[in-house]
Amino acid sequence: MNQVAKIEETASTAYSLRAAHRSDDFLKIMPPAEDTEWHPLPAILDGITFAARFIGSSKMWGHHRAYLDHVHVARGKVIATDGKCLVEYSVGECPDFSILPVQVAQITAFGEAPSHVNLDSRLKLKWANGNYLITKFRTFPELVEQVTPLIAAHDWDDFIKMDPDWRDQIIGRFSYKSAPDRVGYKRSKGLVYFTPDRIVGGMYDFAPDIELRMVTHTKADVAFDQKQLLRALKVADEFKFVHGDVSYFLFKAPNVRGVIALDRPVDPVPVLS
Amino acid sequence: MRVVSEGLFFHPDGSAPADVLNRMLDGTMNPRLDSPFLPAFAETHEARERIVAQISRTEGRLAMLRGMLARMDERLAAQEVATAHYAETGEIDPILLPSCESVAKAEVAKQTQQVKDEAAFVLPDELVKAGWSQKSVHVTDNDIIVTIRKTRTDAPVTVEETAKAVVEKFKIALQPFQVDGANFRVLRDRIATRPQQPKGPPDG
Repeated sequence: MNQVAKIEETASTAYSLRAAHRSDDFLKIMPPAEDTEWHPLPAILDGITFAARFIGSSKMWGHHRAYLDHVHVARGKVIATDGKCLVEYSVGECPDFSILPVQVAQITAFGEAPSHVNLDSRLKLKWANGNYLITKFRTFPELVEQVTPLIAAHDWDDFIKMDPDWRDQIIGRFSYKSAPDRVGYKRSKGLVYFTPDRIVGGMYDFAPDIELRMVTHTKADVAFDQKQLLRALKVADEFKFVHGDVSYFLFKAPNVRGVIALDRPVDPVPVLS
Repeated sequence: MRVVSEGLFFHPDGSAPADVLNRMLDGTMNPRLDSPFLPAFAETHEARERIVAQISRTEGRLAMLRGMLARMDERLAAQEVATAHYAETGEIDPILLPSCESVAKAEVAKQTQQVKDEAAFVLPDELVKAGWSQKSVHVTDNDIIVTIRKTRTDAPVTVEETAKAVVEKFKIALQPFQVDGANFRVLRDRIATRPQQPKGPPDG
């Protein structure tokens, strides 16, 4: 006959999940304290959404360049950079904080722009309808210190108005998917070369196969990263090439100012036709 | 096509000494973001670290040898004591027995020589015709190893000579920095004010 032993509860087998005691705390939503000092926040929604498209990545550099991953709200602007391109979007007076694109998405999901902010240890945002979001933030004061002169150093007058035909020709001709970084032994970085009278590019930048003859408004031979060129052309209303020790492409749109550092071809840009 | 890459804060293709060296030899070095002396500094740092590690290893080895010497002295003293003990009681302590290693080694060498003689390896004719000659026969616990050799006819490439040629190329790449030009004045000013390559702003 089978016999089932009587199961007795012993001290060694009785246990409870540690989280069970704390689950109430975990699930509890802690609203901001009553005495939170709220600062009015201008409409930053457009600014952070715009700037989030221009961030870079610190993945291949390490944590000391974590500023590349963030969207920085500082000195009345929203700033983002990937190390080669820098954009600022004017939003108006507000406290300084830096957030990741995932937090931008969280804020955007509320539909409207938050009206108030508090930065005591956590980023607390409040909406006019009573909604609130508490998340984390960082600040990069040294980066802000460094990028401010990068924009201010340039003359932001006498820009060339963007001609839609000119832009559409470039975007139409150069919107190809460029080859991955390394092709065999050669490195293809996805560059598009600008000379004063023509634009040259192609899937493999070491063997370009597309040429567009037009007035390019640049005074020297320069090279754009294809993705940055297309992205900037799509948002710019006015633009300008600046040549000095370094060549820059400056672009403007309502509330937006942007700078792209341009590469310099060492060898002559090939003539295809 | 070669391109001098630009960045706002740092070189987009990396600022490691090897990257800078490759860019200098390639002619695509960026005087605003790269220091031409970084490769030399990095080499010195690396060699210094190697010597520090070597010193620490040698110190460890020296400490170990001193310990062994002390143990041998202790053993000598113990053997003296054991001898005195034998004189009194007639008991022979195991410490007074020799290890007989030298005799054993001679036995093994004899056997090895015998194996070598038995092997009597003769180089095949094809190999002799191709210029190969026999160098040595070595016997281990499991194998008999025969080494054959052939004289090289091509001109060997030495690291020293190749490095010399690359240094000459590097010197040519450095020439622009010895004349006053707009780009290079920027570099000289930067080195004068900040002796080290900036790594980018630290975390806020």
